[in-house]
Amino acid sequence: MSSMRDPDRLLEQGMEHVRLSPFTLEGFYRARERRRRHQRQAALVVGLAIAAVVILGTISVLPRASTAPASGPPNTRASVIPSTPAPVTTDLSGTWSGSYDGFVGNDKASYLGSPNGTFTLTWAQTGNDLSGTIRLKSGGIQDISGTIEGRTIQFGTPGFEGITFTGVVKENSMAGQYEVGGSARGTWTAHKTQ
Amino acid sequence: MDEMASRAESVIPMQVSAPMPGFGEFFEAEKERLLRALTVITGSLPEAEDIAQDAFMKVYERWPSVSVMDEPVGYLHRTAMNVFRNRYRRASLALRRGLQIAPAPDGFTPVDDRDVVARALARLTPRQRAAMILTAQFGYTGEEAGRMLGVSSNTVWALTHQARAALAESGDELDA
Repeated sequence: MSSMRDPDRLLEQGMEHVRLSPFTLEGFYRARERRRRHQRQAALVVGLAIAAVVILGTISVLPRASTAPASGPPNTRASVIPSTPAPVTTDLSGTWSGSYDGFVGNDKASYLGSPNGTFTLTWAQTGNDLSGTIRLKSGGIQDISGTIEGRTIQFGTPGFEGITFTGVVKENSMAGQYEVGGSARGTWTAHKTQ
Repeated sequence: MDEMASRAESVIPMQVSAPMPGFGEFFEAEKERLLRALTVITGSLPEAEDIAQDAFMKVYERWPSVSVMDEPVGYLHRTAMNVFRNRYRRASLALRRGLQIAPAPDGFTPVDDRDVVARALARLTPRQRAAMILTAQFGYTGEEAGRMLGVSSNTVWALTHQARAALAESGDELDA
């Protein structure tokens, strides 16, 4: 008889002593099918949950997206289809006075000459295309170009460290964020003066 | 062998077709040994069955590629150890996070307190039992066992050394 002092023998005996319950191939296939069914059900539940979230999200966004000018028609089908750009309702051509407030992280930026200040935009609009100039009160005047899609405006100055403005137009005012060279950024707002 | 299995596991597409030729024979040939080993490692037969089921399922899903490997058994063992490690890690994490999830009851103790072998094995940690089974029973090298357990070969050596020492000590008590 081998001594109980032999660890390998102890381990071997441990494996031999295991009281196995039936673990059959049929059982394996059944368990596999059961698991696949649970996975399909789980996927269905997740899919339904995602669909519900999307639908609820769309419903909660629609009233804001379809906010029309006071004189505009009530909520129509065209105004609730997000993939269709809303028509340009405002002619941006003219002069706009604005201000900006910049920061980089928690630090005020001076990429526009000073951390904050004022500017004047002069726009000429052709369809959805914009061209004009931006004059900073801190000095300098630069050409700008951009587009207006629905109420979303994007414009910027050309060049390596160009300034990019994005924002939303609401009747005779617009506001949004700007970014300089992908690092400095801040907020801006403007209103039409002429 | 393990490297091949590891690469294969990451690149072999999932198969979801009906029963595949050769798998049944493989299952019947390997299930008992794997189940015994996993029961000793985890100390719980239900836990061992769950791990074995998972491991065989992964093998089944990749069977067309696994079946032509030099060592399909190595792939099965590696997969089983991966499942074991993941479960062990999750249980440890849950405990560390204070979720008050009790560890799986060690099957050795309630199975038969009079069973001296079971009591000796119950003194080891699951990792010590796994290291010893992989090297002493399945014949893997320290490097191979280390890859399966996600540890270095030195750690495997340390685990098996500790396990042997503890078992020898138990044997002394049992012989006395």
